[in-house]
Amino acid sequence: MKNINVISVCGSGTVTSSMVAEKVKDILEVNGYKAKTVEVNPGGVDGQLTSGKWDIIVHTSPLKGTYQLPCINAVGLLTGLDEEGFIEELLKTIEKLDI
Amino acid sequence: MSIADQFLHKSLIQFKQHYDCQEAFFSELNQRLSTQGYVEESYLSNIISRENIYPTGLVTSTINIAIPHTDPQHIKKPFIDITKLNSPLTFIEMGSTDKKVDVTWIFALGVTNGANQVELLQKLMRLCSQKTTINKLQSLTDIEEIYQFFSLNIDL
Repeated sequence: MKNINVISVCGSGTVTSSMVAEKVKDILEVNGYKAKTVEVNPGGVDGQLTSGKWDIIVHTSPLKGTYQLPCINAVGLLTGLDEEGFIEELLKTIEKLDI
Repeated sequence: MSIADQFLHKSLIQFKQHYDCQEAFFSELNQRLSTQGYVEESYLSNIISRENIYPTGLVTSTINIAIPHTDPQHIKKPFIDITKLNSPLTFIEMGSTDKKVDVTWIFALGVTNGANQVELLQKLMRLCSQKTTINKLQSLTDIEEIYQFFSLNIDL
């Protein structure tokens, strides 16, 4: 199983990002990846990027800056309104990663 | 303790005709929550500024909702405060800075940090994806019914 490291971002870095992180883990596991996740608020992204190796950012709040790694809006996953669209984008993005 | 026991309180459910603006809603919310001892004095200013920076309007497959909440340090004990509006109030959609959503249900979440709160949000989101159940919710007209509805459906 390939490892994917995911930063999950919401306004407080607690509830919404945890819910999104859990869902992302499940989606990735079903598709043959093992995900490590961390939940932060937008201000916490830079700190994570300097202290570790991360592959992808999923977020339900606007991000503070622009980042080198792919960023995916996860609001559709949160509400379930566009879960399919999110999954498709996530898997497509991951296939392109050099891991 | 079940999720409903922990978060749901009859005194935090209301029907409201209309609010002129978000601040009017937040000010009334703060009044209700602080009188009943759920929030710190810093709650009002934090919830207003947080909603500006990290908006919480959500379009679901059934109803448009908002789930305003603060950082945990402004909360004394967990709650979900439920408001059903007759005429919609405009929020900005979560994850965006300018997309407007007119919402008729506001679920103000008092989150303190526990794992249960993720479960509460999951249950709420799942509920909003269930058309028949939400149709039932939309037809309810008194607080006791709303309370019973969420007691039943949040703990499923």
